[in-house]
Amino acid sequence: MRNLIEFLKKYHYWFLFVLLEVVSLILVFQYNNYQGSVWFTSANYLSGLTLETDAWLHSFAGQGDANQMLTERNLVLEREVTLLREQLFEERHRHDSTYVDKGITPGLEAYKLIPAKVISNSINRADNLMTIDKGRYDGVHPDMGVACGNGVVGVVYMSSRHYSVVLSALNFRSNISCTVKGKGYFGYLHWSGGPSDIAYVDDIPRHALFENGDTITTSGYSSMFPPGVMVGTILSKEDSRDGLSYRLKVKMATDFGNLRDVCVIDDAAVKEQLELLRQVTDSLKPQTN
Amino acid sequence: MNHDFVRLPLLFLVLTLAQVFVLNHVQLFGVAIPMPYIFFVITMKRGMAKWAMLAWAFTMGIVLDTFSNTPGVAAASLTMAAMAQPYVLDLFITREGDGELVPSASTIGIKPFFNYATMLTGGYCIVFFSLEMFSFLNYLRWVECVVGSTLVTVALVMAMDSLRRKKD
Repeated sequence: MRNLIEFLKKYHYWFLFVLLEVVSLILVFQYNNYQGSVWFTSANYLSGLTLETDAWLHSFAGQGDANQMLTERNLVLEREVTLLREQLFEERHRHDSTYVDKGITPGLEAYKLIPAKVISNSINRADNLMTIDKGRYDGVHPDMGVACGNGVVGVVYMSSRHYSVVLSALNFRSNISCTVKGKGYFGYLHWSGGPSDIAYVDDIPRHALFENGDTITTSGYSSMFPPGVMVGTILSKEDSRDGLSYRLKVKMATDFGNLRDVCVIDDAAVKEQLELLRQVTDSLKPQTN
Repeated sequence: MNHDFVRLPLLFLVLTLAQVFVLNHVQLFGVAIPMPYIFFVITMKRGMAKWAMLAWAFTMGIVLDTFSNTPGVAAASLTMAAMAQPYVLDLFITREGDGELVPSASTIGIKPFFNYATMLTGGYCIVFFSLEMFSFLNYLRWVECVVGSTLVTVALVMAMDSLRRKKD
């Protein structure tokens, strides 16, 4: 017994070392779990508050540029909406002279947008994450999409009461369903490290027809993003590793290095509608005994 | 009063704040992340209780992880570096030397200090990026990150050591 105590005394720091490493590794692996704890992330109250103060101080410097960028984007979108509305009206009016323009946004009303501010953001890691100043109390929950004025940003990863951690599109684990606008081909947006403005869309079929400069938007096939949210523009194409599909190199529309105001997309109403539709479909199926 | 009683908490605070508010947002050439907080472990004095070194390093790692959204990664890497520090330091100094020596270019010489800092920082970066990426599928990027970050961090460590010498 005395020898054991002597042994423990002599090598106590090795036991402490093993203990601390085990605790650290538990944290590493727990965080890989999707529902991991928020205690040791920037979503906890203390670090969230500190980062929020830092972001508030920084915002004064970058507000001018951000406002200008949003204004320009707003003008482009307004122009696009006007043109589309005119085209739609002409098309409908040609077939039905009694047609009255009721707007083209009823589909978007199902999505509720929760404005949030980015208080911490990284673009230099393999698994880039960002923290926003809205949490469960504001209606933000995991798996909700996040976008800014220019395009997609990421998906909510975990939420505390007042803060949330967002899995940025610049994260190896990010997997957002996209489409080539107006062409219908869809694939998945991935980031392979390197520059923060370059990402790749995988699984585009080889028979797809598109050109460099074409726009990539969200496909709407997942419930995280509505269809049509800007992702970026095609820079070039290359063969996938297995040679069965194309891999598109995309210039991201979102400036991840200068991100301040974002919106969390709450699609609860859409999910409810889909769930109701599924239940109705199931109930109408013939009973098999 | 023990000199470390003031020096360590102050260094801890300054390096942590610098990393969280400034250096976490810096990336050079797309791969190199400056992580000069390793200076905290590098300059732990010879003969310091090993349990205290481990506790300090782990605490700093946890705080950095919390702000950087890398739970456990910096904590595991810094604890590993603190455990290795006395053994790596012994490679570059004579055993008869001062038992309370604080490693720096002025106490052990510029070249031995550079080699000591490079070895410890390189080891730290290897563990850090292995845990962070947790996959060697993109091994080229892993190598770039380890080499790039080690070079940038060692340069900053040498600069901080030079500043400290001037102040002394």
